Amino acid sequence: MAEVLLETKALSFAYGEEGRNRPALEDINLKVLQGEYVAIIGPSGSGKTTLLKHFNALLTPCRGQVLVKGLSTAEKANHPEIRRLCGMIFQNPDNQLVANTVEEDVAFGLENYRVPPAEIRSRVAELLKQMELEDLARRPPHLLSGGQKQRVAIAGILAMRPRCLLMDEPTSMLDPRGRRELLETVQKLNREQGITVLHVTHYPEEAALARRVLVLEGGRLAADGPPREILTDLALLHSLGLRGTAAAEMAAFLREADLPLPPKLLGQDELVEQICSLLPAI
Amino acid sequence: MKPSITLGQYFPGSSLLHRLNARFKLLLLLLFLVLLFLVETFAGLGLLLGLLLLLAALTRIPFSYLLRGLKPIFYIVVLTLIVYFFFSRGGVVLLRLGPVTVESQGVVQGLFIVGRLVIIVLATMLVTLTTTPLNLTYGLESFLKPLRLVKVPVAEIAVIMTIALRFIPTLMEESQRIMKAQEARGADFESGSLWRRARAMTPLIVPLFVSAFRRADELALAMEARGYRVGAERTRMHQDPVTARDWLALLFLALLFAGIVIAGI
Repeated sequence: MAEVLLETKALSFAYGEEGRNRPALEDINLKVLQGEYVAIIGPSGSGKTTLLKHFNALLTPCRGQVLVKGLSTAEKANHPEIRRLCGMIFQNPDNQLVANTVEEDVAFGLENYRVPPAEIRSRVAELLKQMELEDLARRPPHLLSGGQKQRVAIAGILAMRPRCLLMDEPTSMLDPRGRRELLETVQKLNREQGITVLHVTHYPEEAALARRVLVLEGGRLAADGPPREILTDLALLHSLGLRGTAAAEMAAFLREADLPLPPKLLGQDELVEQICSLLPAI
Repeated sequence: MKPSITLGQYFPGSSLLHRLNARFKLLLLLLFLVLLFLVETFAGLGLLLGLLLLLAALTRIPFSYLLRGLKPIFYIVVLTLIVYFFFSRGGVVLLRLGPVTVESQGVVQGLFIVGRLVIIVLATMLVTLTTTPLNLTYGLESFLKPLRLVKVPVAEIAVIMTIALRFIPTLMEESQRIMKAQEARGADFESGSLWRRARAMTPLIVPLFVSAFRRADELALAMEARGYRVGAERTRMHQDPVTARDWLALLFLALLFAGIVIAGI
């Protein structure tokens, strides 16, 4: 049994001075285990990003508690360790690179944690190799593609040996190729190094890569379950203005046309297979 | 429109100047400039210029590249020469154009000042061209360290400089993009009087500022998320070690300094 990495207890939060505004998060109770891959979906303004920022202590709860590996984010003294454990990847790849070259940017976090220079150099070299960025080590960020920038950002986070990757719509500003590469990288990290992933996304297909999907609505947890349950529950998703995966939507359409398809079809391959198996009957 | 800022752009290489420690280079530059203002003869000026040209040749930076760096001061040079040639009195009258005269002392002074100006820019350029922005920032930081005693946040200023350098190209790209977007909607940045053109910049400047502030906001968040704290000590990936070479260079310049002062050139 994997240990609990992230935990919220009756978490409530509102923006504005002393939380006077409408709450952005209300009474969230959640446990995420070490090594899980969790997608967070929900309409705009439902609190996805706000929730994510709580696990990195960029925001702290107005009421309730957030624990990262048992450390409460309410304690300021815990922040450095929490931020090392949970690295964050933002939406805009341009606005999270600080330094003038790729290698210096990967080193930025380590420098903040006062790691000795020799150790920084060896860890940076290791990460550049792992993320296939060696050839770009001395390149300034503005000469990189969007996908490369996001890989640099991830390398910078991984250099700190985190347990968790918090991703806030990391693919929304990438081209299809950058997007595919990034998703493959993240899945590999989750699979091979057991890094926990929290992935906020608007794309049902990306959410389907996770092993668990959280649905937020108006700051509350509306649903929590495996992708096959959540992303094929079109009644729920449509009521929130969201979509299921393309395959799930298509299957629903075909069922209405009296095609006897089994329920809970999530991926394109499954759908194709099912339709093909029906073909002789038609 | 390609941005052409020669000043502050690193030119990779492995010459003597490239290998000196950044802090020493700044110190040498300072000494050199003081020396420049002590020199009062063309011979002295020639000596310093010769030294600079020798160092420049060693860096293997193309001469045309250096000349391009001097372009921004072209108008200042011309203006200085005009002012000195036509308005400075004394010496032999060289040329008479109605009420205006060009007199020999003015010509000599004008040429001397221009010589100084060119040497200042050339020397500064040689330092910035042979030092990576990162080392330059660190050099400046350690140079300014004494100011910490009077609560000047020196380390933070260095970080600000690094970020500024990092975002210059990004914001340039952005301004090009905004310009195109506004042109597509009929904005005209190129015709009309200077005043009209300046006013036409408003639809460029405003969105650029808005976006710069948004970037700053997000960047601050990202830095905080990666454990950056204002006022906290940091380590550095690349160090810029001081070697015997640096001390020798300093000694050489000090001897030259003494020599020039004693010889009185």
